[in-house]
Amino acid sequence: MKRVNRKNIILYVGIVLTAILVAVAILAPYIMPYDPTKMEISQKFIKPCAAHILGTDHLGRDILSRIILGSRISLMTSVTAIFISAFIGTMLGIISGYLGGAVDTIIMRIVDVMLAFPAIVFALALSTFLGKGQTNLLIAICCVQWTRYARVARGETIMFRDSEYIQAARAIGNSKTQIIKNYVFPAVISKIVILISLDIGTIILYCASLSFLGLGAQPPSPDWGVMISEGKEYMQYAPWVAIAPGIAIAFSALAFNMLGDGLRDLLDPRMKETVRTE
Amino acid sequence: MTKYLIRRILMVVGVLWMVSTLTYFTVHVTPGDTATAVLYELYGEDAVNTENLERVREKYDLNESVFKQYAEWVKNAFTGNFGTSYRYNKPVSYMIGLRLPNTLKLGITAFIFSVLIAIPLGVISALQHNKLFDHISRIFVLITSSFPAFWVAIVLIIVCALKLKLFPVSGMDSPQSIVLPALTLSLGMIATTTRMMRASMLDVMSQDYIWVAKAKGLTRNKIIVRHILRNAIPPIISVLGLQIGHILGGAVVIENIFSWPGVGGLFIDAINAKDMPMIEGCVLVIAFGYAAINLVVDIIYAAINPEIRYSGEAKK
Amino acid sequence: MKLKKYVGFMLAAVLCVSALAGCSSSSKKETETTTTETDGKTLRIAFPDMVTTTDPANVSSATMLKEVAGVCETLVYADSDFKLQPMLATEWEQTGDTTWEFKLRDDVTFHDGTKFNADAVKWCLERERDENSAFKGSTFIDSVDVVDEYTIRINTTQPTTELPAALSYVGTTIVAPTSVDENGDFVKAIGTGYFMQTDFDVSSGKFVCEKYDGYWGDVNTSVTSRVIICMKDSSARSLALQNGEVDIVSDIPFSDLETLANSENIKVSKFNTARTYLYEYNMNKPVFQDEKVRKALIYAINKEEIVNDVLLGVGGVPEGMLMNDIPWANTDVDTYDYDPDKAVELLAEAGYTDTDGDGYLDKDGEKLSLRIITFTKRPGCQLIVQATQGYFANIGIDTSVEVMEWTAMAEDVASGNYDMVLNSVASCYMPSPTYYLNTVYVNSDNGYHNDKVDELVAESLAVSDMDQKYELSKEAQAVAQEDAGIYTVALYGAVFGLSDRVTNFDYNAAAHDFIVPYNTDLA
Repeated sequence: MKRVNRKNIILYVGIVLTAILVAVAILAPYIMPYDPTKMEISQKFIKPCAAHILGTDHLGRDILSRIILGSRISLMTSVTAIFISAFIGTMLGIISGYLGGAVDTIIMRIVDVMLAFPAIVFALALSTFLGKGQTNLLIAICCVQWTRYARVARGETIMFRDSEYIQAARAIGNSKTQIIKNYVFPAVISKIVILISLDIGTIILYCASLSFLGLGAQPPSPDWGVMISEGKEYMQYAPWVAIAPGIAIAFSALAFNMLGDGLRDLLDPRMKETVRTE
Repeated sequence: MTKYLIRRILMVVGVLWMVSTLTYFTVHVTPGDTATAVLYELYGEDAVNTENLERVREKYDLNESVFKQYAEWVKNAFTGNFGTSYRYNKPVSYMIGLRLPNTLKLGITAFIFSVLIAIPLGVISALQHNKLFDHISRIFVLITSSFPAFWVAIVLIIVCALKLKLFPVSGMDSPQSIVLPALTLSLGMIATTTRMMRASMLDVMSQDYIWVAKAKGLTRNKIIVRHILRNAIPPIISVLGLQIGHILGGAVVIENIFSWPGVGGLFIDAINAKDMPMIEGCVLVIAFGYAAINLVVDIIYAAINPEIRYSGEAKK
Repeated sequence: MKLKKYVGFMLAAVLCVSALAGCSSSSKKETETTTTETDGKTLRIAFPDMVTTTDPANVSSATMLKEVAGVCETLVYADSDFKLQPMLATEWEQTGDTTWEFKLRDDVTFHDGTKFNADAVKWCLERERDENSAFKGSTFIDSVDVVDEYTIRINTTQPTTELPAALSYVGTTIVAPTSVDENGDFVKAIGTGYFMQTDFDVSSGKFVCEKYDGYWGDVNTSVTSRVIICMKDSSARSLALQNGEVDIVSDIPFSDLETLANSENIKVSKFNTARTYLYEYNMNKPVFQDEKVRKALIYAINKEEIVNDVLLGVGGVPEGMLMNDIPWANTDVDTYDYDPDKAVELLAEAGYTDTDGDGYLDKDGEKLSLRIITFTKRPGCQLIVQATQGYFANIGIDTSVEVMEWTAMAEDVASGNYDMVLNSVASCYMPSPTYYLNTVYVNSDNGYHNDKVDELVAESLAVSDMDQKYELSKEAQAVAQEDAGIYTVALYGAVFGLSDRVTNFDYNAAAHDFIVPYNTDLA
């Protein structure tokens, strides 16, 4: 009894934190105290105070407003990235697992190549080659991330392919597409959902790292990674400029990590910790 | 086993070949002319003019078709010649040879840090399952994995190096300089290793033979060391292997912040300067390191767990 | 439970590992410090770029060797008033349209004891001509003849009166023929400076040099060796200074000035440099072919606020296109001082008004949207473009800014994919009244062109009389400034952080990067 409780606590806290985050992102334009891109150079480097709760930066922009608007960028990028890569990965994984043979070999060899490289380095290299900007960052992350889902989806499909359930479906004359769509996909999807919720936190961190290295959104965008990279210069004089966005990143990553952790325990206790190994 | 080994090694070679090909062509189709980048990097903006661009293209055979250049590169690579860095005007293998030991030093130290923190944490959490320590450790682990490493690095520099004057801020001139980068690098790994250790322990603890051991009246410590740990550690090894891969990735970011002269910094600089031979060299080294570690880990894993038969499938 | 024990063990283990990691190199380290202590004083300098070789054909390397390490010297030297002074050459004379004769010092030896003479200079300059791609275009040197042991004749590719100025350029720094091996591969910089190279770690870019006993000049310092450490990151340099790891750093983050100035053992100096921050309009776009728009956008920018509040006082408000201290700078020109009302007025005259009430200016139904690009290397650039974006927003212009690597910026400029570009150019790369005009205005890359400017610059280049040269250059500056196709928005400031043990450090604005004089001492 106690065990269930504890797990639920992590999940509940995760849900609450995520809800706060999503609410902030949706309501951003209404709750920002100031215009986040409005520069007022005479108001630069104001310490956190009543008027500017988190202070102002080197161009006199209100940091709280920037962080609030930045939550949109952070969430949009990571959620979009994860859904695109999950979709591509799951589809390829199911096809690979269900069809087997040459298709399987080709797809899995591509996955092997991708996995032969630390994810962040791959994303870094790709986004350098693609050029800077949020869209290219998104593409880079998708290119790396889909392999995780492909592997899991394939594994699940193989396990499932020869089950009586599918054999029965086949016997009543379903086509391959129908089987994949109506039988395999629903069976695989629960694992993928858990994986997604576990991964969002990591993706938020990836995006932030790449933006910090100057590859994602560009100044003056209120992207959190960019804000840290700008604030780094003022770390001694005005530490709040870099500290606040760092905590915002940690907060959102933590929210999703807790949500994912809790969700996994709830939905699939047997899945244990293994999926996190990547 | 031999057959499995040969297959795996062939796969590593294949993967390396594919990775290098992919890199070669992506760099070539991306915006940013190589000759312009080389001239700017070596001689400053005054040197960028049509005549010089032509000369540089001539010198480095950049006028040839991409395929021809690539074929040349592969041919040389097979004889162990990875080309000469445009930026350093030194053989790529020489430069990587100088930098790699630094990355290894950083990576190994970070790895030891993470194992020293994560394994005991995981073990105690499992032993204290659902007690206070377990909760605290779980939250601690969630938090460590939620902070961006580059941000932690900046904060550590300010607090530990500047305010407390415990460590130097960058470079690797003194022995203490490894502590901060290694610590930052290890943070990303602590979470996974702790969770895995805890899960593995719990798994073993619920096995029947532990009950048998308890029933035999063995002391708690004996059970923990002889039975639980011995059986809980092997599954962790493959996780640790993957973690080393993470170190390689994390090192690229961390080396940059701490001005640590490793392969990561070399790689980033090469990308910015479009130093093609150096980019290829770094990509190969990182990919090879990653693949080799995974191979070794799999072999060790197979060796200590003879009942596990590999079919080349992805790890469960 | 035995929790405490476990935790204690964990901590102990972590500490052990750190200690072990340290021990491996600690013993070696200690001996090193003690030797330097007994031998004399070591000056540690942070160099803001990654040095990848000590070959002077590479521009960063040449700058480091000549200006910061003091290992190599040039034939001519530009003092802080931008006047040319003899260095390795004692006197010079133009003997024809394309020929010059230089007399060399006869009392100089290279660090390996070989003689400095006309043969060595010929070898070195011709090697640099072949190896350094920027060399020919900047110096116009075609070939060098040996007249006698200590006289050389330099033939130029085109008539020039400014060869002596060109020979103060870091790329013409002199090294001995023994610096290369028998295959012609560069091994080590064997120069004529007060310090000689003893060690270079290509992996980290760390360069060590020691006092050369056979130096030809008089130097008064107790420093017997210099260590140059490459640190590309500005905050890293500032932190290293505060932590006592280096003695001299340049280009520290502007915001650290106050922290540094208030900390013990550190002094901070600010200087204006000959480098400029300049905006170039894309003159091929119809909107910028209207002079009113060009000028309006300059009026819209508060140059004073940029220097004082955005660059935090590091830099200067331009009074013309060049730094005021430069003897040929024309400060008697219109600098379009901040006047947003006038900007709005001029834009209205050019046809840009907010007709649809969306807060943005438009003309013929099209919104005025600008894309400003700049590059990452110079810290002020991205601050200035962001501030500009703010000023433009105030008068209703929608602006996007992008900060990129220099190469990418150069490509966007070449392909015309921009509206305004913020660049930063060293105006005294060599102390010549035409150098800056030539590179930025005559050979412009934004489509700016004015025959009058080209003519005046060519004339200035052709005359030998200095006063006349300056006058022609000033005239050209006035014409170009009136066109407002390219304009200096701020002067680049240099900030140095020095440990308070450093004495006799002087700033020279004529430097390529920054010069650490031989006489710089440690108390």
